[in-house]
Amino acid sequence: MLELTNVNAYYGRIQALKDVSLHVDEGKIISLLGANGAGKTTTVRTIVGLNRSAANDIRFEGRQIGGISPHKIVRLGIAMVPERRELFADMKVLDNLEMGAYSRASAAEMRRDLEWIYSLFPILAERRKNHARALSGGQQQMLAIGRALMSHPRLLLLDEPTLGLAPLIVRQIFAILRKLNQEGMTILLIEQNANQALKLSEYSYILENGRIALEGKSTVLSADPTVQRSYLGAI
Amino acid sequence: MRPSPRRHVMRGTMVLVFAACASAPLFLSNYPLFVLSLAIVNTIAVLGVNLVMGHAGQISLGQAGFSAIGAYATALLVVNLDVSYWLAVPLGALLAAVSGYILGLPALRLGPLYVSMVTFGFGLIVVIIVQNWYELANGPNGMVVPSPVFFGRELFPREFHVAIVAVAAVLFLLARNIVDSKHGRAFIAIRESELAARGMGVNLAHYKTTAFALGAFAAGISGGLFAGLAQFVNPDAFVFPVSILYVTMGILGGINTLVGAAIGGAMLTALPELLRGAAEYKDFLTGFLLLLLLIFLPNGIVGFIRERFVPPPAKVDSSDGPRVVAHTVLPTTLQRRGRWENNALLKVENLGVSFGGLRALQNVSLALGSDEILSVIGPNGAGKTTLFNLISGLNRPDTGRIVLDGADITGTSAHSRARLGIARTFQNLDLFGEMSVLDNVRVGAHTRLRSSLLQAALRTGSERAEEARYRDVAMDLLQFVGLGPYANQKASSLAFGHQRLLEIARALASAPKLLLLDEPAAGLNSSELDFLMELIRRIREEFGISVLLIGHTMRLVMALSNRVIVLDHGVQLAEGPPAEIQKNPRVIEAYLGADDA
Amino acid sequence: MELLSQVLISGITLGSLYALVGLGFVVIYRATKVVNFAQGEMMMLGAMLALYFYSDLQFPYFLAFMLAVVLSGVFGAGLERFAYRPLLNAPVVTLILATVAVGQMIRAGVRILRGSEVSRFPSILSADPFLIGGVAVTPLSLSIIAIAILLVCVFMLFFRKTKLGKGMEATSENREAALLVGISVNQTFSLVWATSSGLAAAAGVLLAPLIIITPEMGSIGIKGFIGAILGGFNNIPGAIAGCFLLGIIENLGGVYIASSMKDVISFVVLVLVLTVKPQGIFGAAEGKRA
Repeated sequence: MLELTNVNAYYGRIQALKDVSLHVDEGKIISLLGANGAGKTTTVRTIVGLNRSAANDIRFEGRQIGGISPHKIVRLGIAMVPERRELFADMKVLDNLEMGAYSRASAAEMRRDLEWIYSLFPILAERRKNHARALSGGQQQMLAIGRALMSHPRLLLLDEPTLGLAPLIVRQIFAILRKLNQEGMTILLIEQNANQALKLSEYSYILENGRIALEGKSTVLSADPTVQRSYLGAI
Repeated sequence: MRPSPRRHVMRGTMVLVFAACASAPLFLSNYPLFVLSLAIVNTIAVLGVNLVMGHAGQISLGQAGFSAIGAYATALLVVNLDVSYWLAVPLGALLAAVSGYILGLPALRLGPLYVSMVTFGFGLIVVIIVQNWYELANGPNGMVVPSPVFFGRELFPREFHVAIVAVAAVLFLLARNIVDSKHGRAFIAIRESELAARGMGVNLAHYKTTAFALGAFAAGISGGLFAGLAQFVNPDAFVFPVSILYVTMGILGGINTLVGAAIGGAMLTALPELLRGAAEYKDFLTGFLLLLLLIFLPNGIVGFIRERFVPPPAKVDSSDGPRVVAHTVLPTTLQRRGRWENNALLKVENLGVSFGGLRALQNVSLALGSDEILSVIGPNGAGKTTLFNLISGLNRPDTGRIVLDGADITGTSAHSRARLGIARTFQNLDLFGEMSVLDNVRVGAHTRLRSSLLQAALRTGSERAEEARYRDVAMDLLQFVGLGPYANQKASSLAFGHQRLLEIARALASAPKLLLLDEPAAGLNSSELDFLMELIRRIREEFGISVLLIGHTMRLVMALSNRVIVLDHGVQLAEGPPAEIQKNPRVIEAYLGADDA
Repeated sequence: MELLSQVLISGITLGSLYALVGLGFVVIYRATKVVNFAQGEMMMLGAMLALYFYSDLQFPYFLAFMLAVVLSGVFGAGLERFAYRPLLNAPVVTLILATVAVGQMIRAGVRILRGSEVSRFPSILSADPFLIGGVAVTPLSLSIIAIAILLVCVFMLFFRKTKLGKGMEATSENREAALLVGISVNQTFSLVWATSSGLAAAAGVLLAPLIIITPEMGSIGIKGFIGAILGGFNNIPGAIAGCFLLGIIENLGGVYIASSMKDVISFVVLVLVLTVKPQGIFGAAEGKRA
């Protein structure tokens, strides 16, 4: 569904990605792991068009999307939940969700999706009139995911959705991701929390210094000591 | 080190230009001479704009207000108090400088939005006050100023012209001296990066207000000279479009140069006179010109010439990584082999801070002694950079203490900590991009240079000696990190790995006791990493400087550190030698995530 | 007491106009971090256009009003496209200077086209005062206050309730997130500049019968800016309240201190407030990120 071929990207003067190739099959959960600074966030930002520092070959459902500006990409069916959520802090929960549907034409479909999101995250329904700023960390994360879902994407990108969250909330969020996937959503997940991500996903890539150092079935990688070394250095 | 050929050419040209201007009365008739005099008077005001906006990076939309103060003060002193003109002008300028200093105070806390408002408002208010001040200043009708008297004789305009040229020449010289000194570098540092400037010990409050004061002083002189030239002052000469005209002149010539002031001043004084159009066209064209300059030529004429015609310094092949220079003469000023018993160099006790309700750090303690490398690691968002910011003084903690070499520095400002011996580098690099590589390092030595602004302006012997000495120190440091060949290049033109090294050289220039390195290895390739590791080792061993390091590159952290501290979610998780940390199950869990219960 | 209420009424009238202009400033600032020094000139342009359509071409008043506002809006969008968009990535100072330059061009341009002659806007409503509860008000002031408040409310409705308006708010709050949900930032900026210009123009048209119309009348515009900073620049209702407050303070100062010192009073008040509470009287301190 999503195919990156020899993708390069620069972050300021640093070459953050060096010839990265990966693909995400439809209906699967794929995770992208790696230590801090490895290039995970740069990868998603490049997919979504926020980083267009190099001409790249990125295909979504067969169609070339490298170089397209971000506000057009969401209309193609890709939605991103950014690192640190990036909500519209002074707007209400409901407004944030409605903004998520900015690119959609049909008001009726939007309302249906809103109900669906309320069913996934009941707390958002409860607090729909509150300002986003007033929500707790976990609730804000749910709102960020809900906002992304409102564009009715076929591919969902999540950048460290569990950053700064308590273990219980982390479990809840992962459960919701699993449920979404069961309902047909393709997911590319970036995580620092490698263990959980490996459990959730089917296939994983490990980035190191801007390159894919390791890839494989998540179950296989779980047992591989190389993964630990990548995070904590040689023992 | 002798100034480069380019410098010689510039200086020679300026001398010729001033000489030509001074001898102009010999071959120009009255009206063209008047225009030239006016151009020079304007140039002095623009010099002030270039200092404040171009060099110090502030915004001043009220320069004409300061000119007005200078002009009216001069007029009032001469007419009402019978003060000699030559005394009245500097007094007026001093008054303007004081106003400038006061106006600079809001700039300390407020961003460009407010500063632009405040300076704009100031310019408006000065004009309103003068327009309404009938008793002393004759309100909108203006005041007549008698010809300046020199040794009992009234000066003819031709003779006065020479005086104007002389004053301009002196001011340019003083400005040039200031810009070339540590103070000039401090101004530019503030423009390029306030954060890094603070880290190097530059007192922002002092320098910002000083910049405004200097700019206002120049405007005040300009106003006083204008009063003598036109022999008439009225509010219309100082309205807002005049401030804008000065800014436009500055940008046209090249706002971050001094020569540009002369170019802009000359061109935009002469052209309207040549066109002889009505006032509307002049304002419209000035506005239009400013807009075009901003879009297409923001660096002005001098900037354009520099880019097109001055060849960049010979590029040294930077494809090889820098090699360790085995027998560099190490600057003796940097030897810091103090012995701090019992980890007494740096003590951090129970440090805690929250940002907007979020607990960034909680109860963190550490201690560092001589010749030690202590690394702080932890997953994303653990609070590592926050810890650095607290130690280097960019933020204040809510709880806890920081003790450096026995002195409690918890409440000390960032720039003072640099003076006390803390230096740092930045995670995402914070160089002074437009300055040369060498000058970046020289800013690092800011706290070691003691000359005052006046000494710098006058280029006293002691100031020159100090500058030369620390220039050598800076060169030595560049050699030490392997960047010697790049000394005169613009910092922003360096390759990324070299920029990281430059930051380290800059930090070393202050002869610190403690060096904070924030992710020094991020983005480096393998051979660059080797070099960096060797460099840090030498810093510890040969200089005796202790290092506190944030790192994600485990190869570096584990190989170099004496001890490692692990933070997670703002809390200290573990501390110990690298080998132990790597095997610590809690650490592994923090990085890789808990095994699902 | 009568004088006081008189002063209050004219203060509120002035304040309502400041609010229209100030609203435009705030909208631009929140979206782009730019101080639009040409906002006052947009106001003057609105007045001049209305004068032209109503006085010279004898169009009906409301048609002249609409045309002035719409044309100014289009002009504002044009400015964004050609003067400001090239500077999107330049430092804020450069953009601020660009607005200063544009302001000067508009002022001088109008002077060239129309000369420096003063004009009077023909009165459309009676200037005869009548009494409401012992306070003398003119139909003119009342209508100005009413229309200004109406326009502010219409704008707020647009801003808070429509998709485009909410898109503007979202872009102001978080540009990247706005991109991620599909908002075109370029389009939003055009809209921001167009609406701000339209608001300023409306203020100019409303102001026109009250004062002498000259190319210099735009200097009143900066008051809208000061009022907004006074109230709290990041907070639209606060900014509006600040503008009303400023109108009242100015008029009080003008009557009880000195008329010619009105501008000085405004700036002094501003500096005082900024020194004590930089976020403005009603502004909130910087909040945490969400």
